[in-house]
Amino acid sequence: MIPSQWSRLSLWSMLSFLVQALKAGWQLLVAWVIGGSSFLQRSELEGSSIWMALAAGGLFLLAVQTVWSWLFFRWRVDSQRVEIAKGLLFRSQLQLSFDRIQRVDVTTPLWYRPLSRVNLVLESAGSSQKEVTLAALRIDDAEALRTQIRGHQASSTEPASELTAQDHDPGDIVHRLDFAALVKIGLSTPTALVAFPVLWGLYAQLPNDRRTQVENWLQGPLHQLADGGLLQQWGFWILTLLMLVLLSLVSSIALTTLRWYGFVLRRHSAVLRQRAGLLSVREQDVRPIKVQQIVYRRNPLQRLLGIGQLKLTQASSSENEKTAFVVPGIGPEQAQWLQDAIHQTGDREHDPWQSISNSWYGMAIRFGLVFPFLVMTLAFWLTGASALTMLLAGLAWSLGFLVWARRRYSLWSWRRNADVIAVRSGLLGTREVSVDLCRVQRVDMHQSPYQRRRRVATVVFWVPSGHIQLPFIPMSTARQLTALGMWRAATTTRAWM
Amino acid sequence: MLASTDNPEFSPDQLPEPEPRQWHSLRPVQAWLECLGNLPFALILTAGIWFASMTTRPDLIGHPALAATVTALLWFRMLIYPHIALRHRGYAVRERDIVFRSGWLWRRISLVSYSRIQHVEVGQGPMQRQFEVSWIKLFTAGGALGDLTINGLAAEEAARVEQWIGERIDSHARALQQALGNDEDVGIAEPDADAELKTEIQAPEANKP
Repeated sequence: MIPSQWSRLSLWSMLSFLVQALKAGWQLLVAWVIGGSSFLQRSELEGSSIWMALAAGGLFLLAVQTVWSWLFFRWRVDSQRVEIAKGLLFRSQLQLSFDRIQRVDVTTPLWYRPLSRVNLVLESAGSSQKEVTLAALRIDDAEALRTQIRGHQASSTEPASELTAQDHDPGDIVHRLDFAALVKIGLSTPTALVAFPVLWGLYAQLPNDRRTQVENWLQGPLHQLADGGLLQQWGFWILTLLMLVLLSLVSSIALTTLRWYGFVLRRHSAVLRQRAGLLSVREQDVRPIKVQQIVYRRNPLQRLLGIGQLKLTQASSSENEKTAFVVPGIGPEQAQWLQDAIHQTGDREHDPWQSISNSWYGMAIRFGLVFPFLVMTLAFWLTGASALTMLLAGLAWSLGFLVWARRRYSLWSWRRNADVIAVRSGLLGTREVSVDLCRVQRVDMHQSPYQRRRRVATVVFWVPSGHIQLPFIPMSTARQLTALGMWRAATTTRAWM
Repeated sequence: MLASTDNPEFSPDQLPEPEPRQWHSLRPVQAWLECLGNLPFALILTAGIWFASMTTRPDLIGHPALAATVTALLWFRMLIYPHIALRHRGYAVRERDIVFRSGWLWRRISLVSYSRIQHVEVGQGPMQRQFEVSWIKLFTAGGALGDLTINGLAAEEAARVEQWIGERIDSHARALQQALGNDEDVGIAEPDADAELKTEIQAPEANKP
């Protein structure tokens, strides 16, 4: 039941407060145990009793923190806002108007699944962390509150037609992930790439006797295949590498499965809603009208596998990878369709991608060749290295840089479709960012001395979630785009946040 | 489509020019105030540079010519550059937006529409109060980096600008409310079809009031 008077959360919410306390204070807990044990060892107490005392003390502190948090957390809801009051010594009261709420997420941690309880997370714009978590609500209550918030927002800021349009199919599935897609995502996420050097680093930290044990364990099967000598050494390293790569890939797929298992993105009348998770289930929804920027990113492996990651950025600044509204494993065509739908570009033809001015190439060459040359000359003067060494190093740098600059320049482009500006960049991986000009807060037009000579400029459009930059575009185009951005900002009747 | 709201299309050639025809300059005393603020840092950094120079090998980092060059650059940046930079700063208050330009070598023009301003703040530091200079800060929803600060306005001028912006925000809100009620566009004049598009950010001298 949603309270209209000040009320506490249910007793089950203590589990959430406990988890929060652990997340916030685990470093303190570790310091408490290590520092305490070192102090107590000096007082010549029994080893086991030291640890017992410290563990009991730590648990007691956690319990106090949890009960304290629950006891002094109260909330109520009226027809316009959610109000939260918490704390006793450091009291705080928060009023979160329904109009200002950017996102309403429903998460179901593993420990709440048998209890049919969920956490409702409310986020508004301009905060670096999530504003409110209403823990252990009954599913019906959470759903009712979410409906109330969304209903209020729709009636106050959007034309009624958006909710009643007949061409929408409520609950239509836009994107879903099967197990093959999860494997693809797992293989292409950076976790798989990072895990390998991390594991290698951990192995290198082992004491010598432990490393010998590991090597013997790994070499065991090889002894049966070949007997001693160089082959065994090479085989050992190859086997080790293969095992580490395999381990990192499997762990990456496992982590992906934990997070994205059963992923479904549905399109409702005015809301995009996604649900995913193997143990803890998270349900996020976003209203397209609240989406400020859309970022479509593909790393080299994702390009190879034909997938990418679409991130819908809102004015809420807690848009890290864990809490952002991210659509994983989505192909380029489907991503484009979704972007068009959110930006409401309709059936208009997309303008072709336009390259930035080749003046960028000139600038890159100047900075990439002349500046390193000066640095190398200085290094030669200071260190007294041989001229031949410096010359060879300079040549290698220049060649490498020319290849990089040419490739980078050819991949940096932009286009305008109706009022949507998109910028694409990237060398191996690609990143495409698009914004609707009606959301522009500020426009900057930059010119360096070099750009001024070449009659090009860089235009930056600021939106509530960040900015998009169009580098090295012709001056006349820069002026047109700036004027267009300001015109749209001043005249639009669409809600932009 | 997820939603269906109006989304009219404009030809970029028919939009008004982004730059104002006349820039308003800032109070010259602002440059001296900035120099005064920079002076303690310049002195401390200079002492640090020469101390490092005298305690390291003279043929490497401790070369006196290197220390002299760094000191000269530092003093130029701290005590001379503010005067040059101020000459290249200017602002213009227009019907729909406020424009601010800055930068000597790397130039920048920033435009903020009144419809996007969340609130306005006018303030003075202790030294600014002595010389009746103020700063005005326009807060947008774009976070700290999306805000615009104009430093060095005359105090009366800042108050007038603040009042003007407040009135513009109110009138835009009324126009928006009316447009939403009548299902039509915001009542702002059509863009000038004959607007001339310049080809370069003009030199500051050409636009001085």
